[in-house]
This record gives sequence, structure tokens and C-alpha cells, in this order.
Amino acid sequence: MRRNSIIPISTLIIAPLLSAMIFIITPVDGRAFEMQAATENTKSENAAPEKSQEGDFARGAKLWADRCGSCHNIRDPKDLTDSEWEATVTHMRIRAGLSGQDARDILAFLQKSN
Amino acid sequence: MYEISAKSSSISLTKALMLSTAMALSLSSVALANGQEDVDGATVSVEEYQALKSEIEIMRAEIAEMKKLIKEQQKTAPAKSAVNNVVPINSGSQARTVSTTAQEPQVTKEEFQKLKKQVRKIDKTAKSAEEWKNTNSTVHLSGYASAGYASNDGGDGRFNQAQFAPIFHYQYKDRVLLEAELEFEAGEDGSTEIGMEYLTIDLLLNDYVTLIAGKFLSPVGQFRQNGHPSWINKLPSAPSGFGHDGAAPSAEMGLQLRGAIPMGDSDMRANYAVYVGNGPELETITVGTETEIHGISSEGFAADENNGKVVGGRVGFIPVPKLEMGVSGATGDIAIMGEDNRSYNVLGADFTYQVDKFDFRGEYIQQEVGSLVGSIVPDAWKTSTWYVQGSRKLPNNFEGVVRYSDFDSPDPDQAQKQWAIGLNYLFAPQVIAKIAYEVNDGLSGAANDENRWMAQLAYGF
Repeated sequence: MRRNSIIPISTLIIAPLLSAMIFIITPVDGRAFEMQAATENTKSENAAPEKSQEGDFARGAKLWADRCGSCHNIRDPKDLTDSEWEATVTHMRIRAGLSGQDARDILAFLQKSN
Repeated sequence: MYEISAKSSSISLTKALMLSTAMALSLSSVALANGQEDVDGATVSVEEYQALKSEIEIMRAEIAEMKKLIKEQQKTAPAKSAVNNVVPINSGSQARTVSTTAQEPQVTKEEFQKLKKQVRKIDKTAKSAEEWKNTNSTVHLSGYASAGYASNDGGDGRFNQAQFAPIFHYQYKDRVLLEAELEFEAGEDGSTEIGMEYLTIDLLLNDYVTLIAGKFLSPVGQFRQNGHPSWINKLPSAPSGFGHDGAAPSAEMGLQLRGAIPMGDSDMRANYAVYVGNGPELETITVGTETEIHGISSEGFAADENNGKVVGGRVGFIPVPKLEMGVSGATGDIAIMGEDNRSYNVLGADFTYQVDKFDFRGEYIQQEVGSLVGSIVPDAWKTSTWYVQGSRKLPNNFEGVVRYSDFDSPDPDQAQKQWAIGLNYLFAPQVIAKIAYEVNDGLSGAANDENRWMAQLAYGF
């Protein structure tokens, strides 16, 4: 068996990490994260998805130029539809470590410019 | 219901009244003056006379009915017509025309019905489009593809690359994103190699934290997680040591937390990624009677043979826009199959900087495996690699790029110093044709020592 007799350091780090995660889950703006109840989700089939806050077009334009171009050539807003930009910006929010507000700002710019 | 303007109705009715009265008078006078004969000498029978008289009577009745109707509508019309400039009337047989003003051309009933049908169709289409905009779930397919050619100095050239890497995005509200990248690549023997670069379910917990579960690209460094797609990488090849099984970790299976660090309202930004995963595996090779470590495989294994997890992460800092600096690392256990665990540590640093038409980036990563008494390979093992790259946008959609990389490995077959210079043409920001030349310095006579030409067409979608 390839086991060390000592408890791996990584195991000792995982527990604090998970604990930290629980604290981090509580949003900075004080709103507790709650998953939507199924009944609420289905109250209207055509209900618009929840948008916690609106994005800012001007801030989004600047962030789009500053942040998107740090890894790749900047894409034309007209390349994608509104919903495609939504998924793409969420992907990039995670990949580039953007805050939710920065992502909403960039999305607002792209959706109003396509 | 038809709509007709009061003014135009009055004009039409007046004309009709005058016409019908004239017809009635003329017919009556003809009949009275000539009995059964008309002025032209043509005979008119009593039956014909009676039939015409009946028609006139019917017309008179219809006109009287219309006059009554118009009067009624004129009483209620002004208020509505002031707003809409239209007056609704019943769709009886009398209603033959529709117009919004007296000056506009009249429209037949058939044309009106056709227009009405078109409006309904457009309305339905508009509602349908709006409905798609507001669904809770969004599906999006992106990815990249590339085709390449390579020619080693003194050797034959070959079309060596046909790669397709679709990326699937399934998003539910602002809560969850499923993302998966597959990779299909043509093999040298004509087969198709299929791989899953990553597959994660990302829970967006709040504006600053996303929990990621599954197989993900290693957050250590920049190139593996952000720079490897062919439409992003400015050269046809990866820097030495940054490919699969190089000095930089490729992927991991486990959990990850990543997001932004709040920095107030300034232009400064910071981001982080921390993860725990099964960790990499140690590869060995036996040459004759001696066994040695050949490399560290970190493709994101679903097994954890040595039962030793690895934790790691990266912190990125953006003090001013367009400049990002990051440090990363990982620590944990790794083992040769059948042996006890030994230490495994990774360190990395990276930067990207854009100014004017220039783009600069660089990265350093080292992986170190500790020694283990009694092992078939008791000594410690260390590999490191780094690169710096500069590129500049040129006129007419051209772009020039230069990169230097240095891969230091105990295995002489892998160690390599490399210069690469390339010229790109951008058909679009995501459609790039590249041509490049690599000057490689490795083990004399080995593949890693051969210089080569490369060409690639890359498309990000």
C-alpha cells in the first residue's frame, strides 16, 4: 500500500478550505444565498431569469477593453446574440476571475452593442 | 370589425346617393315618357323596368341604413379619431373600404385581411423571440478548431494537425454553468483521438465565489487555463514544457473555489483560485536495468492511487488595467506505483501586459518531487520551465510575435531551449492564419533539437 503513516498535509488543508467556503458563501452584500424553491422557479414558464443587479454600459465598455484583451483578441459584440453572450460572459467571469458586477457590466455593454 | 374614417365615409355616401338618385330619375323618366320604349329605340320590358325599380329601392334602403350608421358613429367617433384617427364600423356587406385618412389610398377587404394576417404572424414571431430571451436556461456552443502543417529542417513536411475542440455551455439563471470542452484530434495513424479537456459544474455562489466541481484545467499559471486554445495562442505551438505532460500541470479532478477579490471602486482588481484534487501521477521509465522518473502526468485522473490529495491555487493581482501578475502553487503527495508517498510541490509566477499595440506575457513553473529512501528512484526530481513572449499588431491585420522558452528537465529528451518567431494574419479577431519558425536546442540528434517551420489556421467560435 502506498500510504504514508502521517496524515497528509493536504487533508489538513481541505477541512479549513471547506469551512472557509461555508463562510465565503455568505455574500458580501449581506444577502444570504438561497436556492430557489422549485415552486417558485416554475411559477411562470416565461418568467424572466432573476437578475440581481443591472450592468453599467460605460463601465462594461472599459472593462471589456481592459480585461478581455489581456488573454485574447477582443471579439466583436455582434459576433453573438444576447443569450450567447450571457453564457459566454459567465464562462469568462469564472475563467478570468471577474466579480459578478464586472461581469454584469461587460454583459450590459455587449448586449447593447450587438 | 372594419375601420373607416367618418370623413371619407361621408364623401363616399354622398357620391353613392347622387349616383343612385340620378339613375332612379333617369329610369323613371324614360319609363314614363316612352312606355315600353327607350329614347334609343331599344325596347324595355315591364319586367326589366320592375327589376330595375326594385334594385333602386334596395339601394335606397341600403343608403338610408348607411346614413343612419354614419350618424351614429359620428356621435362617438371624434374622441377616438382624435387619438387614433380611425373609426370602427361593423363589417357588413356595405363596408368595402378601409382607410385612416381621406388622403390615404383605400384598401380592399381582402387586402385588409391579408395585412391583418401578417400583423398577427409578426406579433407571434415577436412574442416567440421575446420568449427565448427570457428562458431560465441558456445553451451555447463555442470552442475552437485548427489545421496545421509542420516541416522539420532536413525532413519532409506534413499536414500534422486537424483539431476540433467544442466547448458546451449550459447555464441556468445566474446560478449554475455547466461547461465542458472535448477535444478531437486526428492521429498519426489515421485514428481519431478523443479527450475531455475539462467538464465542470460551476455554482455561482455570490459575486465573488464560484464553486467548481469536476475535471478542470489546472489553475496553476496562465497558459494552461487561459492561453492554450489555438485561436488564443499566438504561435502554432505551446511553449516548451507547457504542453501535455510537460513541466506545467495540465488538469485536475476535484473541487475548486475561484472568483474575484473585492477591491472597492478603484481600477485595481484581484482574483483567486484554490482547489483540492486527486493529484498527478509519477511516470517512470526503465532503461536497461535502471529505472528513472520520466515525468509527471497531470491529466486530471479520476483515480487517486496513492490516496494523497493535492491542494493548490493561484492569486492574481491587477494593479492597473491591462497588467496582471499572478503567483501560484500546489502541494501534496505523489507516488511511484507500489511505493509510499513522497512530497510534491509546485510553484509558479506569471504576468500579462498590454500597452498600445504590444502584448507581453511570461510565466515560470516548477514541479518538484521529494526523495524517498528505499524507492527504486530514491533521489528527488525537479523540472521547471518558463517563457516570455512579445507580440505587436501590425498594419493590415498582420501581427508579429516572438517567444523564448526554456524547459529544464532531468530527462535530456525533454529539456529544450527554444526561440520561436511568427507572423500572423487576422481574418477576424478569432480567425488567424499563422506561420512560424522554431529554433530548438535540445539533445543532439533527438527530436527536441530539430528546428521546424509551422503553419496553422485557427478558428475560435
